[in-house]
Amino acid sequence: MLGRPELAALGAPFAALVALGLSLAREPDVDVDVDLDRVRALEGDEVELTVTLRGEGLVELALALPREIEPIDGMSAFAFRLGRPETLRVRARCARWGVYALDEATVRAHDRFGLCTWEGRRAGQLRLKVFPRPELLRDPLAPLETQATGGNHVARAAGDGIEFADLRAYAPGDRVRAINWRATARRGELWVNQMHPERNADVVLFLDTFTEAARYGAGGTLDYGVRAAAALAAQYLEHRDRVGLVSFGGILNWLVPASGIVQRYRIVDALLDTEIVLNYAWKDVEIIPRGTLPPKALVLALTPLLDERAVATLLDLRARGFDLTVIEISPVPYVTAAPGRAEAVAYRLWLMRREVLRSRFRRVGVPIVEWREGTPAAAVVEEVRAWRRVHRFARG
Amino acid sequence: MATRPPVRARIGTGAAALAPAAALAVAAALGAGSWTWPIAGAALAGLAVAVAALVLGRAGLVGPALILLAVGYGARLVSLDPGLDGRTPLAAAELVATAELAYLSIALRLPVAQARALVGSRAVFAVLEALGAGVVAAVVLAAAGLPSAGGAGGDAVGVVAAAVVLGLVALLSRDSR
Repeated sequence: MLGRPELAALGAPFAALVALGLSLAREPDVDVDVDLDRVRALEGDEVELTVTLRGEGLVELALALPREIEPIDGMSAFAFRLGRPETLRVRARCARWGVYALDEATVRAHDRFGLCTWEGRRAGQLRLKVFPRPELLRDPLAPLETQATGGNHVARAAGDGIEFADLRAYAPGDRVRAINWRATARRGELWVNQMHPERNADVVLFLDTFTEAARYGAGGTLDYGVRAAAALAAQYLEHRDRVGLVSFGGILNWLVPASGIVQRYRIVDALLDTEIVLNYAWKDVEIIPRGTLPPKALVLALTPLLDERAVATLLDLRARGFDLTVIEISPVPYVTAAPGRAEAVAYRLWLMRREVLRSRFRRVGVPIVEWREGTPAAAVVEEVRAWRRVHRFARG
Repeated sequence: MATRPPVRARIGTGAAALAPAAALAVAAALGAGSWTWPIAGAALAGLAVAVAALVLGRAGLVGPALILLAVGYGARLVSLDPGLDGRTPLAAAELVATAELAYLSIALRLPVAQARALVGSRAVFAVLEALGAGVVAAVVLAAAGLPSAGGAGGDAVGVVAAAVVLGLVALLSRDSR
């Protein structure tokens, strides 16, 4: 129309590129294999993913790593010009406990001219279990009552054992080796030593999962509760105690007390599945299966004391005579007062209500200690022990 | 081994994309016979949009930049005297080089690890495409310069060209199913 063939010459290369590109484009056959160096890891550990790609052409691969699994060099997307199989190794750090699918990926292939793109998504099948890193806890809290079978706790009752308990007059049937010769010589008649036997205990970890206080992108009270529960379970199981778990929240999960390494894995697996499930239904101690809470069991409650249902259940357990200790995973560090006078007053009222709640537990003889971020578990256990020493007569 | 895309490669390909665009814009602005200011304005606006696309990393701006550059160059052609402009193959090559290298530079902004050799080969392929574009433009220009005597020869060329276009359309429609 304008009589300038140069304009056609200017547009012709673009038309030729489109025609050539579209005519040569073929759907690519790209195969992606993802492998993990292990299926279990601890928080903070590094894992290695091996990705093998087979196919042809320019291929981009984006690994859909969960936020809690951080690539060491920050890269989770890669581009290759495939011809022969390419193997890629990605190291990642496990930042938080949980169960993760690490082989989810999006693969995008381009034709030679970059005109056509094919995209495919690989569903996750490989599961990585990241266990919480256990807290160092040398000497766990001893229960008030022990069970009948042998263990590492010194029982309050007298019997065969190592720890000296008392002296008493000889009775027929007593063993000769039990005779206290010094006392016998002083009193002129046979006296024997009484010992405290070593027994095991039943420990039930009561994890409150109704609600949590958390910071976005960082952990919250549930994280701490799970870590603490894992650490306590490991320690008690090492002391040959039977340990059970009650995850009391929107969904009730429980494990009947048992001992041994298998129980440890069961507990950690159950803890990994722990999550906050919103539920408004009233729940109390009646819904917990009877065998989960054996008589004379030490119940260690890990709770942020944010839900009335958990508080009522714990007080009910105490009323039923259970040896209860409350470890309060404090939500206070995660909450700040909003600006304004009224908000500051509301914040102070909230803190006061929490203090009143603690005093309710103390009044009924339940030791309650606050566990804040950064406090070692040993310090928390020692605080409970000190509370018990001071209040042992009040318990009755 | 794949590594983080180097900043130098991104800046290098960006500069390589802007060089032909600048050359095209300046040629259009300086070579205009009449309507100098509108032509220069369109060409320089195209250059500015290309710069913005590369600085902001917005691939969507590359297309408008190319259109403005092509409009500037086309307006210059219209403003000139009749007769073929021998610089057209160079202009076509510059446009294709600008497009390919600009898209490559923007793609290198993404946090995608890739081997350095891959970046190099993609840049080389972009340059080869630009050269090919120049050749295609030259062929079209040469065909346009042939004496249009008409007759059976001209008709035969037209029939063959139409058959090629139809075959290409059929090929493309078959692949798209």
